[in-house]
Amino acid sequence: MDVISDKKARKAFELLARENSRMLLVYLRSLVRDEAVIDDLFQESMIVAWKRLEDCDLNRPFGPWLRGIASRLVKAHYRKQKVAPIVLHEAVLSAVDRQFENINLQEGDTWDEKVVALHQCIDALPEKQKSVLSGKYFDGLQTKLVADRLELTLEACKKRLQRGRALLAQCLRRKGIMSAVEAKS
Amino acid sequence: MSEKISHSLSEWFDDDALKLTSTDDALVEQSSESIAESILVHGLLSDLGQRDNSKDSARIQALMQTINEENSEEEVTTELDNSLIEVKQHSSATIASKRKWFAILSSALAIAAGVTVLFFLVGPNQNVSAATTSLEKVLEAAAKPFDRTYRLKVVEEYPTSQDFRKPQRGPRRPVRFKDEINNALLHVGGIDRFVFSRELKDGQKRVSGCDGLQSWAFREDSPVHISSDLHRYRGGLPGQQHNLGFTDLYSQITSLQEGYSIKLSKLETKNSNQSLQRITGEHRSVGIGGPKRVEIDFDPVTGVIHRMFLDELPRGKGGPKSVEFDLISQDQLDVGFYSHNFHHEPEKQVKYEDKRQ
Repeated sequence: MDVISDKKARKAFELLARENSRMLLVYLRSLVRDEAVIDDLFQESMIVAWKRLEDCDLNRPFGPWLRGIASRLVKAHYRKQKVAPIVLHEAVLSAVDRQFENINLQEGDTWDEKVVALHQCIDALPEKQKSVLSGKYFDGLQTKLVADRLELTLEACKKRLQRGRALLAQCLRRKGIMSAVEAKS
Repeated sequence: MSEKISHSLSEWFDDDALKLTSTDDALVEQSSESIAESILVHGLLSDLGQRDNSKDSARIQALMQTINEENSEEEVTTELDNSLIEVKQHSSATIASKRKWFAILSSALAIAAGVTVLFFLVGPNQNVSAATTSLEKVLEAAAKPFDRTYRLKVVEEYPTSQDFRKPQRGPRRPVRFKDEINNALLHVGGIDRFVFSRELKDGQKRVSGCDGLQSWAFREDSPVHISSDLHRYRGGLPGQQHNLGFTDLYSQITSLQEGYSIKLSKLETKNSNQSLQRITGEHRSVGIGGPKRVEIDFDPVTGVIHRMFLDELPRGKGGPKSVEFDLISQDQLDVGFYSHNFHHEPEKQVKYEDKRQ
């Protein structure tokens, strides 16, 4: 009987893992650049979540708890490398978490359904920004290669990338996917 | 957001070498919300670009394998070493607490678990059993190093924001992906061996492929990009994503074994010499990527796919809504066909892409 219940618990955890895997991958991809490290941190986060299930407050959503585990593992990863990038600042991590929670409140059963407006926002970008973002994020090119392909200087390419991300953020705010930034004095 | 913070973020996201500049903590705290926005946009875009259904599925499989192996070790320890009371108590407590957790969780997940698990254990037995057997035959055929050529057709696209703005008058506006995917050719020769060639909107040819050792891609006017990551160049559309996923037939069929309800039916064909069967897969599970519906028309004797229809492809990949593959040839291709050298002149520039840091 114990073995059967444990098997069922694992099956239920597998479903939870699948439900939250996209969110966790986006979260890790927000904070870490290396895909191999992202894969490792994904596995570690899920395994820690499985091992510490009894610590999970079942009255609260699973997503934020899982992100909490992931953020600690990300910090440990950078500590080992002896670096402290801007993304690790506590205030930044809290703000990122709030944005993820805002996405979780959107309509839709899956992550993709909740962020479907992202594609509309990408489509609506001016061609200048769309081409650099496509080259970098969808064709997987290094920034220098994107610049070469579009015959831009490196700095000009970076500026277009910055501007593209800012325009996307504006669009996602308008569509409610991102919560509005509160101005701080 | 201050210029300094903006510059730091740009270095973090866009510098090819990982560079970190020191930042004022107070300044970061003040701009934390704006920084978080930029980080999230970067994460969303990175995820779109790195998306790979087969890898995503493999991640969960690897995770559950690790969990299952650890749990097996716990049970064996309990059985073999009764004198270690602490180990027994720890294991019992762990299993008991997990059982309690499961009891609470299962009320929320029962429907999803039931649909996925019970269907395969208890469902329409004979049809599922026959469909599963047929799927294995198709998978086996797809893995074999025999050459097949498919022609692609976009059947339907997702509407874009531009479609919502313009009223539909007169003939339907030509869809974007149709221009680049229709009549594209996909040659497959087993696992991780494919060549995907199509004509871009500007008339240039784009070819991508994998020979089992390297993945590669090029346009007529650009160098050949090569990577040791076999999943790197999956025939992505320019400006959209670099992993279409459906160019990897083997992974598509593999994914039907999980999270899909499948059934088998016979097909009536005009050609009386050929009788095909159809596997239809309906996607049921929550949170798993992949097209919502898959039809595979195959030869029941050889397992070779003659037609594959993928409907409601994941919107997250920014690609078409539904795509059809039709088998046009099973002729053996020349030796070396799946290597990039076969497809361009010898003096074409070649660039080896390392994984980005």
